[in-house]
Amino acid sequence: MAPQFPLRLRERDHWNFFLTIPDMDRSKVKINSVKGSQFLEPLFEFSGACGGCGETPYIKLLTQLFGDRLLIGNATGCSSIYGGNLPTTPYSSNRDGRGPAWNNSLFEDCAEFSMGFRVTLDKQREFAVELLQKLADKIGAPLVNDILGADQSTEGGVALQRARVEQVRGKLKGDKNGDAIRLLGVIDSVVRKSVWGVGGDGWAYDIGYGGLDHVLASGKNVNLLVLDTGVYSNTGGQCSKATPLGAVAKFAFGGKPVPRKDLGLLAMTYGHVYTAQIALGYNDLQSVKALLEAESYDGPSLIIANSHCIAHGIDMSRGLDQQKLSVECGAWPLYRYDPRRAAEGLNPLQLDSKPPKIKVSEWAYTETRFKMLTKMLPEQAQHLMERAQETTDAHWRFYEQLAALDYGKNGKPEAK
Amino acid sequence: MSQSNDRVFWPGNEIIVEAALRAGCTFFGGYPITPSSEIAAHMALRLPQIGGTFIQMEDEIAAMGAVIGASLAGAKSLTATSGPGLSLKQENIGFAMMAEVPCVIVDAQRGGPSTGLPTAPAQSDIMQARWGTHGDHSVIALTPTYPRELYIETIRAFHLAELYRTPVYVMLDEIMAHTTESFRIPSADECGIIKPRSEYTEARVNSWRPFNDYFQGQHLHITGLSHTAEGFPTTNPAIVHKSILHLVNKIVNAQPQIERNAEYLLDDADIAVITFGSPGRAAREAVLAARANGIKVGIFRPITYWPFPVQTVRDLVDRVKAVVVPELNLGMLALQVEKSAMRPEVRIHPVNETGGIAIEPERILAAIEEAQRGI
Repeated sequence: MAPQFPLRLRERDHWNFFLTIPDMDRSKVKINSVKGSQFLEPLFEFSGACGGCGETPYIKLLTQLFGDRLLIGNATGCSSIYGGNLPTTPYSSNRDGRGPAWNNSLFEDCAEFSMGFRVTLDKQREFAVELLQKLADKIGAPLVNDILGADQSTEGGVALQRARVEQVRGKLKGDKNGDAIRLLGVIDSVVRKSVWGVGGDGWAYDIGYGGLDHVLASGKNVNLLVLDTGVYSNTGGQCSKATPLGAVAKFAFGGKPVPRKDLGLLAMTYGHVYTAQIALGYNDLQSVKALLEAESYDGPSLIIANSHCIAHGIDMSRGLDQQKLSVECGAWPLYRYDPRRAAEGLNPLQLDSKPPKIKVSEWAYTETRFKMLTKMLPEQAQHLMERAQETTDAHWRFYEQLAALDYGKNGKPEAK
Repeated sequence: MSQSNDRVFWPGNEIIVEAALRAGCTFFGGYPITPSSEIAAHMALRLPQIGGTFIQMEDEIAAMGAVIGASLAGAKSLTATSGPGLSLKQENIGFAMMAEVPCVIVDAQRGGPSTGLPTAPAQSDIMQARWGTHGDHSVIALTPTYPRELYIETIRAFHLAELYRTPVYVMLDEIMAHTTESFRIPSADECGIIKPRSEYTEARVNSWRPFNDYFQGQHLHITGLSHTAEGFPTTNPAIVHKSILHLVNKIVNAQPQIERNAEYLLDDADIAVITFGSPGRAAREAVLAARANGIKVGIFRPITYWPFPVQTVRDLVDRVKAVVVPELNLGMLALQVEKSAMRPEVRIHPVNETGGIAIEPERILAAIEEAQRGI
């Protein structure tokens, strides 16, 4: 340890030098890989979260993948506290001045709030398209056609569209025509935006569940990211419907007697909701893929992200190892459900984790939230752990069968 | 919890739990919210020990719904929340008003509006308690200041809820919720009336319709629609009007029985500090300091805040030359005092704080000295 002040003066130069190192050109990076995604500039930095927080890596990744065209509606909870601990904010912008637009909603409404973003963006885009067509003579038909037909599925495509928008700006600069002025106000909306509702399991499983369900049912292109710690982290560790069976939480001092709600399964029953359950600590590539697929899907998406937390009673420097154990015992199966696959006659559900290879207790009893019950109520602890093992095994078998369903001919029986 | 004889060392949130249990509360429905969560957490521990039921619900309005259901099924029921949660509960609170369902709502106030200051004190929900739900109705809200008072008033809240068949608020703030203090548990006499619901025969008289135990003896219809004395929906203007008058007057007419105030050194006072809740404690220190400087000043605290002690405050303001009103909002109590007082020459000196901190005695003392100079 050394006094901070003289170090800070010296390191300031280093820091400034560090900032001059150019970032990778986003359009040239292979972002659908762990390595590639980590070349992208994070637009979420120095949050005030607990050291070793299991939620922030997902948000950082989100901003790396989509940060320069990202809109976040954030439910109240840990992520709104460390995400908006005014007067500072961890959300930043890149050299072009682009960064996530972030707003706290309330406890329960971030899905609806984010849908408001989406509906507005869609309307603005619709208006921009009308004006582009109206002003095609002035702007030039080829440019208008390029904008309307742009493929923005890649970073390169997005960059080209931005360049086209700049061309339109150049052509209409100083134009006093009312439509031209109006178009300049909404022209940015033709660049693809990424809308995310972000919150914890208290939001998604409990108080915000009705709204989450409603937004998923709307069919709108809204992505929902659940930073699932299985407990109300921000208010001090109360039980939620995501709390695993057998875990002790406030309001569940005798251990949670029932399994966690399978939120992902409920979403999958719609058939049109891209759904994924992810855990960076088990397979970081799967997390990257899930976020990219969710974002590319023109419809609602739900991503449930395994987030370790100080409320679990773990060594926070080993949080990713805890995630890995929870997947290896089957308590947190990894999967992606992509509705686009059904259209191709494929099963939309893909299991991304291997069958359980350790007992639930081999994970659970490395965390104080489970272990403490063995000291307080040993018989109850044993009973609940047996139940946890049974339900976890059954749950895995259920998922295996779901993933093995034949979707030949898109669910229609074969003609005889 | 530490206990020796009848002295205990509890935070405010725990006092509420223990007092509620003593009052016969056997049901709690809640949802986590700072700074009231410890009430739910402690209830989750304590209720099962006495055969009661604790339920965590999926959100605030659901918690209020569970409390209404439990009360209708016969249990003395409690919920606890804070500002944003109180906003979410309002629809069901209105239902409980309309359907005359006894229950107790604790509001550990924090800064607002909206998410506001989750971990800091405020008193800005006091008007929401009065007017938060739509429609004409009366309301009972209790605003204790000290630990023993909090204990006694929590018990009284259950009594008043049964007696007048209405939701009753206990309003505290973050300071009281989280401050751990030593106090002596009140004796049975000090706690006032504690009895099972079946013995609330007065409630049958207070009600405009016969009050039988729910699910006992006759079929009941319970609705949030305007209803007849039998509980069935009606749009008959005369009956609807009568039912609303009943909702309002059952409490307004009982004002003398419900009213409870604390007075301190008011006998010879030229200046009255009128305050409620936790600022009452800073006021006491300020008043003692002012008296040491020869200023004749005392304190008046409504412990029953709603219905507001209009006549008592009017009489008090008639006797004094100036009034100082410290409160953790921008003048909700001052407005009430102004409304009650009939003499425009009596100046009200407000001391307001909405920054999420306590009002320090020095600020109240300064206001008292300013008031003294103006006399």
